Amino acid sequence: MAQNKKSEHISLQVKEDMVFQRRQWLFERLSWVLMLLIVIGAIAGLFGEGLWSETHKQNTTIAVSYDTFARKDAPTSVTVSLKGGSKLVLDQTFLRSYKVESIHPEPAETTYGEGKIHYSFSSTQNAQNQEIVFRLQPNDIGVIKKLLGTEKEGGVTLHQIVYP
Amino acid sequence: MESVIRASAMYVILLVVFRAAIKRSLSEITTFDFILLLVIGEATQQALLGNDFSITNAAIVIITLVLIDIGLSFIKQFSKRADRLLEGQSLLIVKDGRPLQDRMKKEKIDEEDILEAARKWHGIERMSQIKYAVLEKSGGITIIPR
Repeated sequence: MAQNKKSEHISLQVKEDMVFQRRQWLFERLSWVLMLLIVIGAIAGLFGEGLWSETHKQNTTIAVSYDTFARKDAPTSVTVSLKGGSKLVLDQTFLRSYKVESIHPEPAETTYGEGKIHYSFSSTQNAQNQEIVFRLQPNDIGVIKKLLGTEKEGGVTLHQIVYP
Repeated sequence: MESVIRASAMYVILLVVFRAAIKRSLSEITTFDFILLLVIGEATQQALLGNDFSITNAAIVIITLVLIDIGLSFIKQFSKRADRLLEGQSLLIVKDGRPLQDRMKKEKIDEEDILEAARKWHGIERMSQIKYAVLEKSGGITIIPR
């Protein structure tokens, strides 16, 4: 059974190429699989918040939780726990990469110098592990690495990938 | 994940609402129906995107919607019952030139609608020239002339 490029063996004037058609069907089916994988990825947290989207990093002074992946101009949140010390110290560039929508609880005082921003939080007596929630919107796309620490030595690096 | 949930929820809500809507209004668009569809589009957009204006979010929402669509067409292929549930069925409304009044009343169609379809597709002049008329799933009316 010869496959003609044009269907000359029937009287209907229609140009069909079965080789091309079969490739198209294959492409369609592959696309469906790809789309299914994308949706599963989205549910898992590959493109933003999802089931397995949180990264937790901590050391003796600070603990940070954030979404591994975020999207530009979309809300995301970073939760910080100050374990030792009462000041949260961020790089100045943090504000360039993120638009801070809100900080809960509000810092009692904000000071800056030497390329760092200090947020002071007034706390009650046993304020270990006080949780501070930052609601942010990324301004950049790509890989963002920011150091978050307290006034004591050391901090953790927030390492987030932002989609457009 | 929220994008997927929003898209899925909106798809289901729209599917159910439009399945319940009167068929005719969806097939023959009057000015008001057109406006209604525009407004529904706007409301849906807000629900789908929320306050996430990233390209990634739009892509995920669109892919989710199309994927659900493809999934449903698979289901419709394998189950006749599902097909009828989702799409509806064709309904005979004129038999041997005589309109079936109770069915037409239920579907909110009058003879004028049938005659308009007859004129449009077959240049038919009067009801007696129609052998059968069927209200299709899409809301359109098809005519078999005598």
